[in-house]
Amino acid sequence: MLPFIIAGLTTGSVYGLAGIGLVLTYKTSGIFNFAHGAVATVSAYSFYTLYVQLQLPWPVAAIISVFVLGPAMGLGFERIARVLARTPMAMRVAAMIGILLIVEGTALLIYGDGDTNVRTVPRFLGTHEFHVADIVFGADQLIVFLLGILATAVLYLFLRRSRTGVAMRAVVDNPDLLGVCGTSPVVVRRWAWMIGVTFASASGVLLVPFINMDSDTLTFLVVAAFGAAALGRFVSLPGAYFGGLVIGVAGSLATKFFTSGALTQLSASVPFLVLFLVLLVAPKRWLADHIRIVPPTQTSWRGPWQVQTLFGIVALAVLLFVPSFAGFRLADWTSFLAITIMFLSLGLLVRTAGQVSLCQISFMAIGACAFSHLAVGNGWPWGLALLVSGLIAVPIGALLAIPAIRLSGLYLAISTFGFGILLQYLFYQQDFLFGVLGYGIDVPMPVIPWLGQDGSPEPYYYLVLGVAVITTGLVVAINRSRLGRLLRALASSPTGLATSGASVNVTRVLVFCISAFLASVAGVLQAGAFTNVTSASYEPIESLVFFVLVIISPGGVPWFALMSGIGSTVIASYLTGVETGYILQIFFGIGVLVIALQPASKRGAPEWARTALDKLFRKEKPAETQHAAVEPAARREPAAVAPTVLQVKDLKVQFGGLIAVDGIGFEAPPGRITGLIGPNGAGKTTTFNSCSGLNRPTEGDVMLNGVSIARRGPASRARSGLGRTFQQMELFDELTVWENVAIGREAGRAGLNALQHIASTPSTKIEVDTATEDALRECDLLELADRRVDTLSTGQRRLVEFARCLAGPFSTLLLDEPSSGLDRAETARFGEILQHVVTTRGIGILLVEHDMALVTAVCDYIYVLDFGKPIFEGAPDEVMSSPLVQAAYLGGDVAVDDDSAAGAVTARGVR
Amino acid sequence: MAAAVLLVAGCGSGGAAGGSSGGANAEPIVIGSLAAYTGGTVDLNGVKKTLEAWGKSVNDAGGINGHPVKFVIKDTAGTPSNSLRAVQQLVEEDKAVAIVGQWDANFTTWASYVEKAGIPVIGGNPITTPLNNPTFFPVGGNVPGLQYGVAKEAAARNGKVAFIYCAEVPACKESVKSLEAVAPVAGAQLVASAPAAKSATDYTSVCETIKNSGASVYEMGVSGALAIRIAAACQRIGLTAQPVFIAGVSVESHATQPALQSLIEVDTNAPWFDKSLPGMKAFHEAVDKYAPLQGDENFPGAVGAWASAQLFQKAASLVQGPVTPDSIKKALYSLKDETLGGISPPLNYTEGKPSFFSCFFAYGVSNGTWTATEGLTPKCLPADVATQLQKSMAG
Repeated sequence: MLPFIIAGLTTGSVYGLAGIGLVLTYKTSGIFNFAHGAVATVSAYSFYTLYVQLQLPWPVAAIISVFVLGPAMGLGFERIARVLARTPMAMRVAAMIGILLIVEGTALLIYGDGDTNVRTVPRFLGTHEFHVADIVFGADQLIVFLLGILATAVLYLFLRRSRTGVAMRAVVDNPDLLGVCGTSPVVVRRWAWMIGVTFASASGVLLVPFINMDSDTLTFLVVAAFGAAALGRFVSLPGAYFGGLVIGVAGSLATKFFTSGALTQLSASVPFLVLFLVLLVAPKRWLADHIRIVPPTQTSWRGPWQVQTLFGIVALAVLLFVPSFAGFRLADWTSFLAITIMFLSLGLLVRTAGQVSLCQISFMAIGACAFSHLAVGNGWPWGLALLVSGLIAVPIGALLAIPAIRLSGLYLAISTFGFGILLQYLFYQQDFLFGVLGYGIDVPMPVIPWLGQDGSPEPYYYLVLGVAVITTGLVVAINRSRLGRLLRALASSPTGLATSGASVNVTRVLVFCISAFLASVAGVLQAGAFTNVTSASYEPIESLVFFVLVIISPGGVPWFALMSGIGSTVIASYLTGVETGYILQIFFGIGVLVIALQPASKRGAPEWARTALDKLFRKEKPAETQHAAVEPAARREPAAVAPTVLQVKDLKVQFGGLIAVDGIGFEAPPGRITGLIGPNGAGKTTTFNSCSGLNRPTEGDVMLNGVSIARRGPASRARSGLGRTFQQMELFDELTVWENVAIGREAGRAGLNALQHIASTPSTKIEVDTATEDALRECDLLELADRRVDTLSTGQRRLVEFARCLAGPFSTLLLDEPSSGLDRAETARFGEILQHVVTTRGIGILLVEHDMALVTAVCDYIYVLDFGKPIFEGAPDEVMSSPLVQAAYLGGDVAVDDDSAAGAVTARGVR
Repeated sequence: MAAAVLLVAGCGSGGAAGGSSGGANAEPIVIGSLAAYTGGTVDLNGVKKTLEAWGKSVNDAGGINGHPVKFVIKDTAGTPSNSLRAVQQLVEEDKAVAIVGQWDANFTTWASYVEKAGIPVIGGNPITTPLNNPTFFPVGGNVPGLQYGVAKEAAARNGKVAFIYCAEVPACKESVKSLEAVAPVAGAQLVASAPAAKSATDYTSVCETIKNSGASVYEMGVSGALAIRIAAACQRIGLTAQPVFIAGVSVESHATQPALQSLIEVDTNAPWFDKSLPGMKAFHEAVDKYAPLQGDENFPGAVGAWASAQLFQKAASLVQGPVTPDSIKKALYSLKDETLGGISPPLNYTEGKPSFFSCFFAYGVSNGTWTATEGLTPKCLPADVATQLQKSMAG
């Protein structure tokens, strides 16, 4: 046992060092360095060149490679990270992958790949061997282990004791505050990057005597650091180092205990298994990440339909002629069409739904394998086998949705990446995937006479083209259907969607399943082009490239998919040559980096082209006015909803040691506007969140019509009649005003039912349209119906959020500072709207508001909170004249002029 | 990422016509080859240079029946889609009549294509040769035959054999199965197997597994560079079992590695360092003249490539009339116990049937140099055992 542990500790120590560098840079800059392994690669090759090729003494080579090159690269990363800090998570991931590709391509170009150009570095840390009892270990193993502990300890002390170290910890918590205190966050982050990257460099140099030089190997070894970082909860440095040791030892012990059977590959999988499991089971608060994963569509501009149709016809015409010129490259063209289907599936997941999958190629592998077993192994007909192969991937897609339910942003990205590598290590070599003899699996082309399929490549090409066209139509249809709206809403604001009544987990599972199905079908079709595939066709690293392509490719469906497909297959088919391949990879990496670093406004079609096209094709009626042109119908009074009473009893909410809300109780009956006021930090929003199910109360109950809803999720509460708006607005930024408001009605209709997520009946559509139009009219928003909400003013956006609430079948509305951002006239109008809807619809409103003029004007009854506790309740005039309330707002015993109580409070106490 | 095309032309013709129907301006015979010269798992420069040397030597000697040879060698860079494209290009664009001396780990992606196209695949590495495809014409033992050789080595000691296989390529793991199947036939038993990842930093645990199994011989189905690391790790923990390589893993410098002093190679063809067999003499003369092999370019794969090209030359020289895939195959079927000057076991091919050879050459390191420790004659499985084995392995 002991020799295995010693071996594991050496490896683990290196993982730990790399993990520390990763955690340090991630926490201080918010950029997760997917290129961490690339840094190690650069330093390792630098060390090799200096020490082995130029024969410098190893300490000199090590100092240059670690302590000169490391900080220098750190500076470069800091510059990039500073620009990336303003971009969405997906762009950050893409940029880091870009760097990874550049480094890998350059290393390959200069040094060649590691197996066919074997390069080794001697054991420069000493070859002496210690014999203790039966155990033998090398001096270098001991040194690596001790260096790891020492470096961790030094860094730990540095962060605790030194001024810069303390500043680094501070920059994690509050960079702005640090700036106010006179320490530049930029300088602090620069230090963090220099140290973090130096750690990665050190891990690279320490690793090389133990492996054969190979950029792939080095990159993936350091990917193991992701697992170490996960065990350190992505925050703790000693935790990350210890995590590295755990992974190293566990991997080593796995080789002892699993020497045969399915688990022989467990050892190599340990870092990824750890990574995936930690992300799957760790408490959510470890992994809070609120940064959007997907870049918002940069502009609401879409090519005019005439141009898109023309492009579509031209593209289809070219594709129809491909067999006449492709020659022996026809298989590559067929593969291109198949992979376009995969890109459409990934686009649905990433671009439409704002989810992320860094393991899409795994679904292609699953599809190809399942198909081969069904069609070749069991003689199933081609079409049936294709369909079932797609379906087989569905539960695995659903499995991947589990991290998507728990995680968002970066952690979801990392977990799916871990999942892909895990699949490769654990399953690619199993007989049930790529066959028994290691000869790969056969995926024949179909013989279906009535479809003109005779098992030869040309008819097969047309078949795949047909499937690609159908898939494009399907994805376009999904995007335009209820599901499409729900997915885009999910991408913008899962909270907004859930509190509108849609069970967002159903939405998530659904999109992962659909995406897995399509990717699996694409896998079958692509494999069919080559007729035989092996596991080498499905390297997990490809998934990263796919993801990057989907993120950076411009255009909507199907243009981004076609461009991604051309980039990943057709170009490689024509530009052959090994070095050309490496150079292409480098250029691609540079391109990705450049695009990621560009301001969002500069991505996509250039301004002049948009203007020109709009002038040509959109002269008469801009599309924006489509809904606005609706003739104002005779003013309908919307149907009153079933009245409900919201009651909150003895509510207590505690976050760790902080009691945010303590013993609050109130009632919001129908037909009344109930105010909930209090100074900042009084616990109003926390109370709202408890009502709508966004936090978990420590004690107390929330009831609707006397029935407790405390155990229900946000969507279920919404469907029970609880609608709300947010202080920090939760709008669907990429949707139009009309679509935003419609979701208020539609989300509840979709509810928990997967089928109802997908499509609606004509009668529901009428209902949704009517409700939307009524709500828009009520809020004077009809004119803006077709504007994207991210182009509106704050005041207009507030109204849209309120209209979304009104459109829903909600009986109680929780409005969190709805007038903030509205001017005096708008506020007055808003007050009228509130009173009107309460009267006409019979709903109840619970209003959190700082504008005391509005509160006193519209509220029938007011509850006052302070420091999480109820301090007063009563009619508005009672509240305003209460000394308790005045003291809470103004502090101490400041007198308030009775005549202008509300105004005074507004002016001096809150605003 | 992409395939490289290396045109190793027969560079014109070599003076006077040497055959019956050709001449200096006769139509060249086009043949192709492919391997992952980059991006693969082994340094295959020795293979490429040997194929180049053969092409030049043939053309300098007047070609085959007066036809110069145009040899198109492609680099697949280890990518499956490149492999299929390379073969399709060889067949459809270059009009190659045969694939000769291929070493393509992704052979499964094009095996059925060449079978349909009727193109013979002559020689090449046994690991990259399927057992069930009649269009492949190996120049020596198939994998089960070589595994039988490994098991025989174990049987000559304590009968226990272990296997360390590469973790990355499924075919590596499959070799375990064939060793397990043939071991009892040779009077041995597979007692342990363990995967070795090339990204691992330490192989102590792998070596402990072998040590604990009590094996006297352990096969390493990994690249030669990795094998050195593993053997060193195993030596460090005091493993005394003898390492064995098959199918072109060993290289010349292995003889100087302290941890590989008892190394045994079991391979398809005669040892590369021999200069006594007539076939080997010709091999050394050609490579020394046209493309001298440096250092570790001297390895079994070079002889394998030479044997493959020699087999093609033998068959093509028997063809009366145009050299086509079919005429080459017919010529191959007509061969009887061909050994190509002693460098191959006796070769016989039957039309429509996959070729299964269960013979092997074994040699090893002795006193720091490669030595024909077990002579220069191939050893073969008894015919009845071979037939039974073929049935069980070909699936």
